[in-house]
Amino acid sequence: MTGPARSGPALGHVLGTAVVCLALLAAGSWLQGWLPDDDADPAAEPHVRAGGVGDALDLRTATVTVDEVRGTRRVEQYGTELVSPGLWVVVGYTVVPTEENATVTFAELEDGRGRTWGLVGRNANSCAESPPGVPVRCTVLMEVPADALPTLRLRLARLSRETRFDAVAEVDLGLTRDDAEGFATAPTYSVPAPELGDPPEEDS
Amino acid sequence: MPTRIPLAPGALVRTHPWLSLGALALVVALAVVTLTGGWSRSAPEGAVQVAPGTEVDAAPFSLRLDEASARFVRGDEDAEPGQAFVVVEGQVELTSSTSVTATTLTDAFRADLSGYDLGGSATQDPAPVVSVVPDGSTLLGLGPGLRYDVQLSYVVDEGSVPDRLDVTVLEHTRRPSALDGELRWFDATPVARLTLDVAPLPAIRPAEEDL
Amino acid sequence: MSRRWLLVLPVALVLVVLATASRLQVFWWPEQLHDVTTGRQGEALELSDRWEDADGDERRRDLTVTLLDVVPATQVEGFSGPEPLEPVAGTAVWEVRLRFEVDPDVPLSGCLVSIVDTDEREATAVSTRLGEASLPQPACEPAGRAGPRYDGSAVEGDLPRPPTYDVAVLVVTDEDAVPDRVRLWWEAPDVAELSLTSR
Repeated sequence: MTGPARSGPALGHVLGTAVVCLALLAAGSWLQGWLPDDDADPAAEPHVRAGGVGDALDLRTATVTVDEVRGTRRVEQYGTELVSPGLWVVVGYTVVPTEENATVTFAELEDGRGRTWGLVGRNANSCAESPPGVPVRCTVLMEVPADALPTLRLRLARLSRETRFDAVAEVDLGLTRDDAEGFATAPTYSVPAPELGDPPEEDS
Repeated sequence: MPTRIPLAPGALVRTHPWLSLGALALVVALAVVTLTGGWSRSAPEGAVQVAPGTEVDAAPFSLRLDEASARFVRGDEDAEPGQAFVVVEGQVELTSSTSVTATTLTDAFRADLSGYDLGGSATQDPAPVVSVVPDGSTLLGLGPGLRYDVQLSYVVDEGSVPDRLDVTVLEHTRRPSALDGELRWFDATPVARLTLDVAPLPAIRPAEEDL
Repeated sequence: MSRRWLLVLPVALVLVVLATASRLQVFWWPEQLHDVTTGRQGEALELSDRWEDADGDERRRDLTVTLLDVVPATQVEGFSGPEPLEPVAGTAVWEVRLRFEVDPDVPLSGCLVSIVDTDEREATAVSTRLGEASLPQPACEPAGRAGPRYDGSAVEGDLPRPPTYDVAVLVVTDEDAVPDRVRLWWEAPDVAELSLTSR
């Protein structure tokens, strides 16, 4: 079906089509980057319970409270002294399981610049499984550079490999630049083993 | 509805010859670029030879290797009879924002020597044990922003301790694993090579303590 | 557009829920202790427990278990014989006494024992440190007289298991927990639930 060769479509029409095509492609690729991809699963994001030192945070299967935050350059665990090129941040916390035996095996520090320190290398979480209603006092120790201290937040959760769908406690450790100086000269801290039961009574 | 004349390619080319030629040239150029590997650098720069003590950026680490020596003792561990340690001293810092494991760290080095792996079997590409200098603890991974004084140690046969040790530093790229989709460090690429003089073994092996 | 298509929406939703429900059956339900055999303290309870061997085949073991008693524990087995159990604030330690009647050839290692209290909280027996004491892993076989392993091999140095024996399992609970029943299981979904009569 070849008609007589008339003048083709106007230049304006061709350019218009090209511009629309490019605009659609651009819109498509922008949308592609903006929409969640196959791996993204916003519904599975952990449920973060934020709080400060001393706040009892409800993690559904347990209640977690950060009791104290210390820092030092040297810690001793299992008879070995570990010297950090930065600082050891040592956090004592208590877990009280709700309905069933529970413990905390996920711990992570994050600073204001988005850097995270997990339970790798020499970092350690010393906690034990406890029956419902029985507090267990645990310790997490992680080494971080001194400049991270003023913005450090600690996250604690049930399973080290899996925080999807689960509740995660996020505790602002409330440390300052002055703490970093104090920590640098603190004596060696001996990491206690996890302990079940009520904390010893304060001397009145 | 007005009927449109179907777009006849011949007519379009005849009416706008330069436009058509330009479009064709663009398509050919894009095809050539695509076929030759796109706009990214076609070949990595390759490893550069650096002097001992030079700071090397090898993602996810920034590191420096200073000197090497052969020893019979590593920390409080004696070498097995007939074997010795080759120890490289240096510093390493993690520059990425998330912690990495020991495997990522040991993957950053390839020493040109034959030795023994952790299980004790002979290998041409032994992985070093990385220990922290002030306390002798093994560095099984590290977090961001911490600069460690480290010793990389290899177990070798006592008779085959080299005079000079060639070490290649490799960088990695963080991407999702093709198997499980988890973000890890892959695609080792050599970024630096250095040659260290190995201080020889002491003349005599420290005597085994009789129990 | 016709609004009648909106009527299809609930149907589609139901189909989505049904289609994803298979995950419950695949990943969740088989791991739940839902096949419960109930009994009472002092009465012999016959159990038929399914387990999976190394080849993935389903096997079965039949045994009779009797909950003799649940009493406050006063001592724990130390390195050199029984040691007195010092109380730890906030905790209580219970001794769950069970009698087993079971063929000596049936493998019984790796049992799990828990106490459910009157508040429906479930405390499971685990090996743990409590104060100065070390509480052992729960065992449903007499010490030194374990039956065969799950691959059929014998435990070296152990005497044959008697056909009838008693065990005591230590369970830590909250100080104010009142035991209501004892649960005993190996692999899900089978579980024996023995309620206490003495409270």
